[in-house]
Order: sequence, then C-alpha cells, then structure tokens
Amino acid sequence: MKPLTASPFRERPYSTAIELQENLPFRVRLAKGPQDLCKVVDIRSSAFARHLPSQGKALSTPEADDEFPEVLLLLAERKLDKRVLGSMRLQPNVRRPLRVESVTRLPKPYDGCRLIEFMRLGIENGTSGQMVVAALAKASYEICYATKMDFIVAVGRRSTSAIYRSMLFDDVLHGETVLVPHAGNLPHSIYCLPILEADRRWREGNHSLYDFMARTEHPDIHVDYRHVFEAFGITS
Amino acid sequence: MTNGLQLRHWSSPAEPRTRAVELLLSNAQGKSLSIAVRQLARDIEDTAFLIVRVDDVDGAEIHQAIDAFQRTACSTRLCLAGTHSTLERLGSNPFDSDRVGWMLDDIDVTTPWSEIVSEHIEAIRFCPDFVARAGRNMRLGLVLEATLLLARDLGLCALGSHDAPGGGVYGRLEFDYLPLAPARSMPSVARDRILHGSRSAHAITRDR
Repeated sequence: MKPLTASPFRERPYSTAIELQENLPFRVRLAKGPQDLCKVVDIRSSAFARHLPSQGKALSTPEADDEFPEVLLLLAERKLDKRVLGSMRLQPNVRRPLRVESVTRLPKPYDGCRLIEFMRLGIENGTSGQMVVAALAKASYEICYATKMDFIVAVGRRSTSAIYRSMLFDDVLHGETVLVPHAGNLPHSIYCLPILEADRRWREGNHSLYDFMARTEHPDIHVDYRHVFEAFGITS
Repeated sequence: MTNGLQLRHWSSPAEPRTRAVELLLSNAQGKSLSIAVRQLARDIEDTAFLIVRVDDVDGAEIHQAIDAFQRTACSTRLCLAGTHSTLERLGSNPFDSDRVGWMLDDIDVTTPWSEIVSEHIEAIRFCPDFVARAGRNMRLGLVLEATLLLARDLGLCALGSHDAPGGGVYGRLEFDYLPLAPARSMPSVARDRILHGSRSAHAITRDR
C-alpha cells in the first residue's frame, strides 16, 4: 500500500448537502489517555457481559490491541454527567493485518486493500441506545472516508449481524460463518462495506439513517482528525 | 456562603455513582437566581450537574443566571428544568453553551413524545405521582417503560423517584438518577460536605 497524504480540506463523504444542524444529548469523540481507556473498557465489558458473561469478564481489562498506535477508540459521552454511553474500536490494516485475518483469509478481492475493522461495539443499554449507535457509525464512516480506506470489515454473531445487514454491508462468506476465538469462539459472519459505495447504497435504498448521516450536521460528533491521520500514518 | 439555599440531592444507582444537586427555588430566601447559582457554583465541584427548575422564573433572569454561572470556574453542568412551553419561551437556541442544558420536567402519561425528542432536551424527569401510579397500574407501567426506552434510545438521562414498587426498575430499564431520601437531604451544601464528604457516601438507593 502506498503512503497517503491528507487533504487540508476534508471532503464530505455524502452526495447530498447538509440541510440542518442538530444537537445531541451526548458527544462522540476519540478516547485519549488511560482514563478514557478505562471508560471504554468498562462499557465494553458490561455490554459483552450481558450476552456473553465469560467474554465480559475477559474484556474487563484493556486488550493489547487497544494500545496499538494505529488503533482508534471512539466513545459517546453524555453531556449531562459525562457518563459513557457507548464505544467502538477502529482497527486498520496499516501496520498489521486485521484481527479477523487471524481467523480466516479474506477472499481475493480484498487483497492489498486498505481495510479497517470495526470491533468491540459496546452500548450501555444493549439493544436500546440507537442514537448512540448511529452517531458512532457516522463518526466511524467519516473517519474511513477521510483516511481513504477501501472497505469496512466487521464480524457479527447472529444477534449483532442485523446491525450490519441493516447498514447494507455485504456478507463476505455468503451465509457461512467462522469461529472467532477473540469473541467467545462463537460462529460469526463477516461483513464488508465498500466505502466509496456506501453513500449511494444508503441514498438509493432510502436508508432510515441517511438523513442523520448525510443531511444533518452534528457538532457534537467531534473527531480530532490530526490524531486520526497521525495514527494511520497519513502525512499532511 | 451557601447557607439558606434549600437543596435536594440526587444519586445514580449505577456504578460509578455520580451525584447531582437541585436548587429548590421556593426556599432561595429572596435571592436572585443569578446570585444563588453563583454561590452554589463554589461548592459543587464534585457534583455532575446542578438542576434548577425555572418554570416560574422570568426569561431575562434565566439568561442572567446562565451568564453568571458561566462566569464561574465551576466545571459542573447547569441543567435547567421545566416544561416544553418554558423551553419555547426561552427562544430558538437558548443554550449556546457547553455548560448548560435542558431537562424536560414532569413527564407523565400525557407528555407528547414530540416534546421528548426535541433536540435541546438532554434529560427527562418523571413526575413522582405518575411513577407511583405506574407501579400500581400495568397500562401506565407500560407507558413509563416505553418512555424510558425512548430516553435510552435518544441517549437522554432519566431522573425518577422512589415512589414505585421494585425500586425504580422497569423490565430491564431503570432510572439513571434517584433523589436521596428526604431524611438524608441537608439544607445546605456546607452541611452536605460535612456529612457526605465522599462520593461513595451517596450510595443510597439500592444494590444492582
């Protein structure tokens, strides 16, 4: 992969204009420092513990991947009391293969591509917290576009697969599953979304999140792109 | 000096326990809201947010109080509470600030969801009478649970009351904050500090 240069003007990844600005009751930002890492670990551990108690326990301390320089941790934090409502890890293949590649070889079309794996989505209230999930997804997708990633990759067990299918991800294994040791050794599907096609898919599919993603500006989603470019080794 | 300001204390049942303070204006002893919040700001650094119900306060005085609070070095968030009509009275973008937010108050079975989804709302507080009735009436209980679920989906903070069987748990949902039992509420911040100096001392409501 050749090194990338960051454009001084970040392009919007959407084909439609902003129609309104909206406040959120929480802020989305990158986690920085040990205190934030603790918050991320707490929410991740309690979220996984609800569905996979053994996994929740295993995730009660930071994983080695959390400390990799290219890894980004996003968190959503309530404005009122700074309670963390959700978090997600973004792990690109800029320095090492994706975590999922330790489990299976991705099909040929993904060879040599800039991939980024969305991992460890944890939401305070399980299936509720939809606005938080949407905001984390928006922040993550915009990071992927700004850093010129080719595909988002995610693994999902049966219950979480619905999230990726609803976001119009492709099922890489066409219904097949793989056992994922770092996710309770349960069968997981692998999903991919081509970054440059995402806007068209959501717009043409009249996706319910499209207004939130593309037509609404959210000042409370605040990503420090200098940190992102530095982490991904993109020079400005 | 905060003597004479009547306060109610709130605490999160969930760990890590955080606490909030409510300024009860009926007992502000004739002080203006600006003076009261400025005085309080000095003593509430260890609380997550300060609640002030402003339905009966003049709009200009509310804006003065916001200004006064923002001029303090206090990092606590000011959470103004009131009905939807009070929020409308304050104008289209009343909280052009990182440190001030709005809590929709007195949520009950008649509250339209269009008010709860309003973008300026960051917290809701249920009417204690509604919470009590919801504990005895299944239909009302379902309304309360659905409203709590809506709050969760929006990322709002939900304040409740003890007036319900089950300690404020609805299905798998629960309130984010509950008031401290009145007997443990103290009349002034100074006394509160003496009696409840540590955050863990506010772990009062119930075990999870």
